Amino acid sequence: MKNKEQEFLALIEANKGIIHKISRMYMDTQDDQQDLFQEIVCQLWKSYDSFKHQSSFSTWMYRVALNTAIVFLKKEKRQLRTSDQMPEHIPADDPQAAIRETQLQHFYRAVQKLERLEKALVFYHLENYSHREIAENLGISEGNARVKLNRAKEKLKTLIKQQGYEF
Amino acid sequence: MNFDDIKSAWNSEEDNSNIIVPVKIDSKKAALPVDKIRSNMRLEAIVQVAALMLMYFVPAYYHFGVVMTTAYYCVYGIAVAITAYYFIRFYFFYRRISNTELNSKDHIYAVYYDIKLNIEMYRSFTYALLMLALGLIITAVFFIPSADAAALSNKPIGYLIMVMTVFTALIAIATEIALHRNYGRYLKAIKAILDEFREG
Repeated sequence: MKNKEQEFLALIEANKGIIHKISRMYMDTQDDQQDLFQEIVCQLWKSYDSFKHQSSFSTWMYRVALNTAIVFLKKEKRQLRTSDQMPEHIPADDPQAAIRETQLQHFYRAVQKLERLEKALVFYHLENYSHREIAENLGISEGNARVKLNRAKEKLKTLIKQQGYEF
Repeated sequence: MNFDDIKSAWNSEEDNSNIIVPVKIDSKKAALPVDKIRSNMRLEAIVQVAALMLMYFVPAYYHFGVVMTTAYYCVYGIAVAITAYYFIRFYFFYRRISNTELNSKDHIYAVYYDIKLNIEMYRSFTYALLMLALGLIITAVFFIPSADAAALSNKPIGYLIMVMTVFTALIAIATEIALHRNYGRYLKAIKAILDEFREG
């Protein structure tokens, strides 16, 4: 049991970046992001016994993590809080990295305003999944995935423009 | 900026040093609707078992006569059987953890229908017990001779109908409020997500 838990935590350590990205897409404040991160780890652990190693760990993890994020409820006491600030650090020494970080911050800020399914579509798109794979993972038709993804991208574009950023 | 820029920034986002993975998994942190419902169910089960245990001592506490005690325990036995049946059903629901490995739509449908089914089970359980309680009251008032019962059975029939109706209505209102508080709001939230999956 201990070994299994350690093996699992090692896998999480290796994939923590992607869980963090999902948490950042679905929750706007750092406290809520941390809660969601913990919840995803918890749900992954609960389902870990049934992970058959037929697919890669990351494919399995995406599905469980997104299903968790889609139905995750914010803590009620924090529900009225919104965050429009630009958190995180912007590296001053590397101009390219600074540009990328600014772009990401605008992206994360805009993505908060998308519906839960739209966030999942955008996530899979950014992870280079095809329309067919997105449809399969979300349980919708390929056509529906294409239409909804295009709509989500349009919405995202408008939101980023509204933030005053060139798109 | 365009989507290729976002993709490139997304792929190069590698500074994970500030992300802390827990050293131990705390499964009590669960905050999904199903988990919240499960915790409500645990509480309800404890309250119901405690109530049934207390109800066992009612005839002795109120010094019921032989006939009333017999009638009471007949109804009590049926209540225990009904409770046991529903507890088994609730237990299966409780154990059937929503499978987070399904595709997202199936997962959300499973959560939605599990919650809906549980609401209906809870409702039918409450009304089954309510009917038993009403049956017991009617038995006590009309079929068991005692001074109090005689006084009550001499009341106009309209009065008794009104009392029964108000009693039933109050239980029904309390049930619906409890259902909304414990399950309904989660069902509404899940339904809204489910609507996002519709074609078009």
